[in-house]
Amino acid sequence: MTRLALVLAVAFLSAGCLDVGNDRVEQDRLVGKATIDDASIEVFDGLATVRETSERSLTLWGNAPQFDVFIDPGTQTGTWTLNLQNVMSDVRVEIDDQQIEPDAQPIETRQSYTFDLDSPTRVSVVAPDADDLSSFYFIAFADIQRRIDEVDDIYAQMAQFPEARFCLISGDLTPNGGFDEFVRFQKELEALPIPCFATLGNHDLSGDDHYFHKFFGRGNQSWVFRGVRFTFVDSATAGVSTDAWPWINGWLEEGADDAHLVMMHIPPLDPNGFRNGAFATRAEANKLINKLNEYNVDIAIYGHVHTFYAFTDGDVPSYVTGGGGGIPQRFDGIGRHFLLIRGDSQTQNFNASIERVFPD
Amino acid sequence: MRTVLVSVLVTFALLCAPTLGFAQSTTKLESDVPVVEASAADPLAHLTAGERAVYSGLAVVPGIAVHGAGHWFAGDRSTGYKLLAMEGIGLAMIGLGLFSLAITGAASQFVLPTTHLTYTGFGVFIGSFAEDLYGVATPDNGTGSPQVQAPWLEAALGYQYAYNPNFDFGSFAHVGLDGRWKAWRLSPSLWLAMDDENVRVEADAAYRFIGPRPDRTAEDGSYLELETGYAYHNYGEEEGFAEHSVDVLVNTRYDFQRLSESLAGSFMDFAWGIGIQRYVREFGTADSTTITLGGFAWGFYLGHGPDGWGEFALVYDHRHDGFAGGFKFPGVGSGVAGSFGARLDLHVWDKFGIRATTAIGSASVSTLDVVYQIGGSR
Repeated sequence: MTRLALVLAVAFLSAGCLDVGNDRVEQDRLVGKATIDDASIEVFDGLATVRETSERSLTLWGNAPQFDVFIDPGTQTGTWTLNLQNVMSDVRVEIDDQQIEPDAQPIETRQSYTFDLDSPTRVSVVAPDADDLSSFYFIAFADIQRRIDEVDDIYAQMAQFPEARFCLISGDLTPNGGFDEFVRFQKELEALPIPCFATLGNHDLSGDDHYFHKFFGRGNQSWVFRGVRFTFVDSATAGVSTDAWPWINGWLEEGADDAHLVMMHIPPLDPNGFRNGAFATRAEANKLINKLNEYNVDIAIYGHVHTFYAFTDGDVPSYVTGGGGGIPQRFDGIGRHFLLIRGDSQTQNFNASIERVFPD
Repeated sequence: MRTVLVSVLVTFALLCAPTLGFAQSTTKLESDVPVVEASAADPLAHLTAGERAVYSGLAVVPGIAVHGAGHWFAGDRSTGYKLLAMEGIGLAMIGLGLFSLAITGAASQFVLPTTHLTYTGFGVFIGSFAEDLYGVATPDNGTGSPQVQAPWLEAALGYQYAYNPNFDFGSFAHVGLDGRWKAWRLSPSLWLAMDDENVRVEADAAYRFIGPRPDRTAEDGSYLELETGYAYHNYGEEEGFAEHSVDVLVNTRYDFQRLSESLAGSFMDFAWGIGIQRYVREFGTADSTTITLGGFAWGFYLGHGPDGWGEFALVYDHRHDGFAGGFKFPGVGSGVAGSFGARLDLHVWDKFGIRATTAIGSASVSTLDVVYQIGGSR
């Protein structure tokens, strides 16, 4: 009976270790918040990361085409500097609907502004075409991992599609989630003339350091651009974190009547079930897929599996696009690639074409 | 479909070779040989309790790296070398499996056999360490003996607690039955949630080629059987989906007394299989997919009484469905592993016993059953 008691005790104690990923949800909540002495900054919905702060100065890394930031200057009233990184070249900054002129001509994904702040103020980073409901292009890819040395091939090919407004990467930006690896990823990204909005993959986990969140922002987030809702889900530990479900349910509900793209790293189900490059449990996979279908998600983008698949999860058109450079799946003739996607909010259609990158 | 067929063929080609060899070596053991009462041939029978404690320590250090060290230092060098060889085979299987997965990029055509190969390698590797420790730590004749004649009926009734933070269910009533006739086994099971709409039904049928049967006594507990089954798991109206699964598995057990008398009473189980699943959801079209099945267990029998039964095993189950699902390891291997657990079967009184199981995957699942057994003997 001693053995029996031990077995049951271990089982019940281990139940506390099953809420995997909730620490990253906590990190999500911290993204976009900072203080500079008695001044405080908060990016609404965590759509940008506060990279650097100093007296009356802050640098934000965008993880969405547009976002608002609330700045309470406290006693630090006067002229403030706002540096924007990873934003579209034509975004503008507005305060109280008044456009602020940039300090200099924007350099691709970087801009800088100065303005006076005397009281708590909402500063908006606005994409000029945000309300244009016509179709538009964007790019999706994933799984660069250790082939960061050659990612410039991919960026160069992406640059041949100037109509693409931005790029999405569904995880595995780095081989092992190290600080230097994120620095390197960011450095290489300078070759890309459009911003790259990211969620994280299983290779991007940094233990308690949470470098992804500090560099690039939230793993779970949702925003709307040109009538299309984009929802990122953090599935980096082969499932959805318990604390993320309320957000996901809310975003799915909000996007039910709109064109809606959902992106995550590890797919709920691997198109090859034997491999299970997928959620750790099929029950959670089906729970999520049922939700995606219930709320009429129009396209799902995944990574993790280093090839290309076009398939459906229920009725949701789904793509695995893991061609960023991780060890490629052999014998499939795919290799490195990315997807060029045309999204149309009015028809709620997404047309994806695969762009192969050579050498693969 | 062609990929599936190729994968299945490659898997069986890799796995059937040792299995067939095993079958040939044990067919002749199907006889009316009675249970071995004592193990006079155990080369470690002379060890005192204190010496066993010392050699158990050596089985851990340096045995954690050099499996078989405990036996080697205790003087049973033959068994020590066998366990070291077993460790080497396990490591080779792991290496070959992981290398194959890496160079093929987990290609669809190879991922099934390489997955089976890899977890089997882990089983062999872990088993060789555990066997060394078991052999030097346990007294002569081991902790127990297997049932060499299988019961023709085994009924289980009990309670399961399953905690998955992403689902509302918790408490389940469980009932299961194992009915055996000659080489055949039929095993229906039901799990019914008492606090949710969740219900799981399984029905497995198996044919035992080798090993204990109700009508025939085997020399030990080793067996080889082919199992097929159907499972239906409905997660209820609120979750809005149900899973259907058809499985085929090869199940084996190897009693380590065959390898060495000092290992009497211990065993390893291995299973390899595949399944085809269909998911029916409240929203969207139904999907079908495949699943890799299998796993391994290392354990030992409990007790020697002729009318009793008992065993304890540590279990790895590779399947990613069911209540436990797969373990959520963070990092590179995320989503690949199955669940880890333990199983205890113990005769208590007359024809009654208990069965306790636990598994940790995406959920924590613990079951406690009262077992009623008719037939079967050691």
